Amino acid sequence: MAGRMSRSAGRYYRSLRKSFSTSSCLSYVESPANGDVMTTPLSVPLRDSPKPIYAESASETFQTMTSKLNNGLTVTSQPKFGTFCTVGILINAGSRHEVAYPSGMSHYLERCAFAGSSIYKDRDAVMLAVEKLGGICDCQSSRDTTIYAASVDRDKLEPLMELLADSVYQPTLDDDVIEQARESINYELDELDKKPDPEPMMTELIHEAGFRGNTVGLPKYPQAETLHQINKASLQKFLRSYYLPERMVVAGVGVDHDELVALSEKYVSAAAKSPSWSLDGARESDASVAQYTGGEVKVQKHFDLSMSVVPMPELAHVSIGMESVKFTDTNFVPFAVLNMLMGGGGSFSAGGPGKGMFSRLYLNVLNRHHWMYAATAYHHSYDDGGLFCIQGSAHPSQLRECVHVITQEFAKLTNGIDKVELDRAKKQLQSMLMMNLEARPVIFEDVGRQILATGERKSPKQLCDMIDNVSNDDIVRVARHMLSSRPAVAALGDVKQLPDYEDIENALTRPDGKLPKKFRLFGR
Amino acid sequence: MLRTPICIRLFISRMKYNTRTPQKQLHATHCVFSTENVKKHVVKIAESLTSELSYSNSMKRLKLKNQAAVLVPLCTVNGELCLLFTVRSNNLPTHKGQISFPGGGVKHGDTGAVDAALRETEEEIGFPRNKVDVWTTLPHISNHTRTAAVIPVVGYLGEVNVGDMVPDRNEVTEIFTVSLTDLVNSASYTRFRIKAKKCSEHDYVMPVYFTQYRIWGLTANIVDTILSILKSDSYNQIAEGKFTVKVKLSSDVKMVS
Repeated sequence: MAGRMSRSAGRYYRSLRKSFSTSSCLSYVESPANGDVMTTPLSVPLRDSPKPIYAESASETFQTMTSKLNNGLTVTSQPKFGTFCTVGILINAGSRHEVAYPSGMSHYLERCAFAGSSIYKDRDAVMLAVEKLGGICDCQSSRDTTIYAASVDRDKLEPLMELLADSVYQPTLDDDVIEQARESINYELDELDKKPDPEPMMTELIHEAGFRGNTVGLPKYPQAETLHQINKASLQKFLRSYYLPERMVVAGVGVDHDELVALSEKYVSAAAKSPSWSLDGARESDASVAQYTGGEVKVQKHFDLSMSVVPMPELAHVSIGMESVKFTDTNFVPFAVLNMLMGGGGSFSAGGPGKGMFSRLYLNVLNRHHWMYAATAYHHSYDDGGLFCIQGSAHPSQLRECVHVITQEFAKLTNGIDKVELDRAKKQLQSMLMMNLEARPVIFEDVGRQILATGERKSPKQLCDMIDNVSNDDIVRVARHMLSSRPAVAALGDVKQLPDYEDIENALTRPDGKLPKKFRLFGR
Repeated sequence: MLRTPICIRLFISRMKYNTRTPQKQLHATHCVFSTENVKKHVVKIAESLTSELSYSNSMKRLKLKNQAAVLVPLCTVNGELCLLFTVRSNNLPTHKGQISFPGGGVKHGDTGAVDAALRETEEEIGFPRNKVDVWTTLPHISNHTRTAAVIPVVGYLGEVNVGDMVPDRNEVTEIFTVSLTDLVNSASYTRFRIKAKKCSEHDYVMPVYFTQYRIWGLTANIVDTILSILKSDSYNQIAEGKFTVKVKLSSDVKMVS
């Protein structure tokens, strides 16, 4: 017995030694005579254990369903497991529709949302009601869409639908609400002006430069000079013109489709027939298509940095953009990959080669030029046009070099992309897409926006496949297409050193992207 | 009422250049409409537009150093009435890659706008000037800052095949045609503010046509005028060929300011 023990022990130690001495243990394993758990690697089932049956995910149990009601209202839902649901109303109305109105109507309505309606007398009452339903509510407006949404307990769908329909169609726009919104907007405009963060202003400016005077180029924020023109009458006219059932989508995630349709009929359609603004009255609705124009917008401004808590450097910001495509175009996904490829961000995140920021704007720009404070690529795409831009920030004395770096990066795109780089960009885009779509509010917005814009929803799998199919030729092609359009240049801060628009335009037509050398007798 | 001889004749003559009649498909190469009737119609309307008081006033207000002219090339492709367009070369200093009609500045040696348009057409797309049947000129169209004005010369090129034309690559990348029906179906508009931040009475509306290329700007304006003349039964004019006070500010917006 001892002999047998020692023999098996010896075999045990020998097989252990063998398994440690080679990199691939599997090839050296003999199926143990006793199903010995100590020697079987985890990837091989034990001989005597029952064969496992693995669960299979059924492929399209989670299908987006859409119905259209008689009055033009679209109802769409996406099943999802969970205690909560997110439901909302998306409206095809935004700052792009405000050409005949004082700018900022949608933004104003966003501030007046959920502030009281026919059932709830003021904002506190609304918040209390939503709390009782177990959740939160919010309104968000952008250039082309306004969304009223809430996340509540799954079984509280009916009271939520009543609340949503009431908030959208029966808002109390009395003097208190309007005054409060005006104060909040005044404060916001003041902040926009004083805060050194360039983000919201630069987005406005690059849109204005790219789409001069039309649709998405119109300002999103109310303007100080026309803010007083926004009053109950003008708001009601806007609502009457644009808050129509045929321009709306009711979207729900984590709800039953038939239930959602029935409740939409019961509450939303009913409310649409008698909104708090009367259906008779002046209407002015605009169906303009976005037209990319290109051009320059410069805002010479001094940032008052004495008030900031943290020492901030003085920066000038410039954004150079070109025409891209609408999101239904076949070239949209290549542009999205291009956006990921260029990437970028603040130099604070750069951290040098070992850190792991591999997008082009980090590798080629932020890691090489210490004086660049930020370089980011943005892609804005709408249902009839788009804009791809790179925004850079640097000290005002280096503004010319900053522009130079950006134009060179644009021009380099036509040389083609290395396979490793392209694959990384595609993988990053796919993983960002999938990670974001794990959150229910993001699924809600994705479903709602896609149905509102195109009438159908591309599933995440479809989008991942489209991303996979992007090739180097696609990227070069979209880069060429982009570079053949007239550039849009926006600058904010001390912009005296900004190169002339014609020089920037010429640089972008050259294969090396270089600005012409300027000879100055008396240095600037 | 419809059965009187005059009404029947008018009805038939309208049908002749309504390119959406089913006969189009049967007689592919045979021109169903009579070009003479179309020409008479265009000439008559052009004359009435030119004699309008507002036009002659705006003519006086223009102080232009240089005159420019374009040829508006009506042509027939497979029996359908079409317009011919060029894609401007990227080598040109202005309006690279945009869609336009053949044309250019009136230079020394040209007897006028018509002559300049025909000369430029011959240079740019190689279509001989003696083969162009010039019908009329339309009132000039200026850009919205009134720094440039163009005189559109309406001419008929007959049955054409774009593949036979040889463009001058320095100026024209591509030549293509679009039928008037397709232009009507692809028409859209955009309303522009001249001051980005607020409405003004000088805001204007511009047509845009999404055919294989986007046709916009001055060219689209001219197309708009042509379509309103030739396709008045199915097309509502968008811009009236002028960049003037187009937009009535709604009364409540005006009042509050």
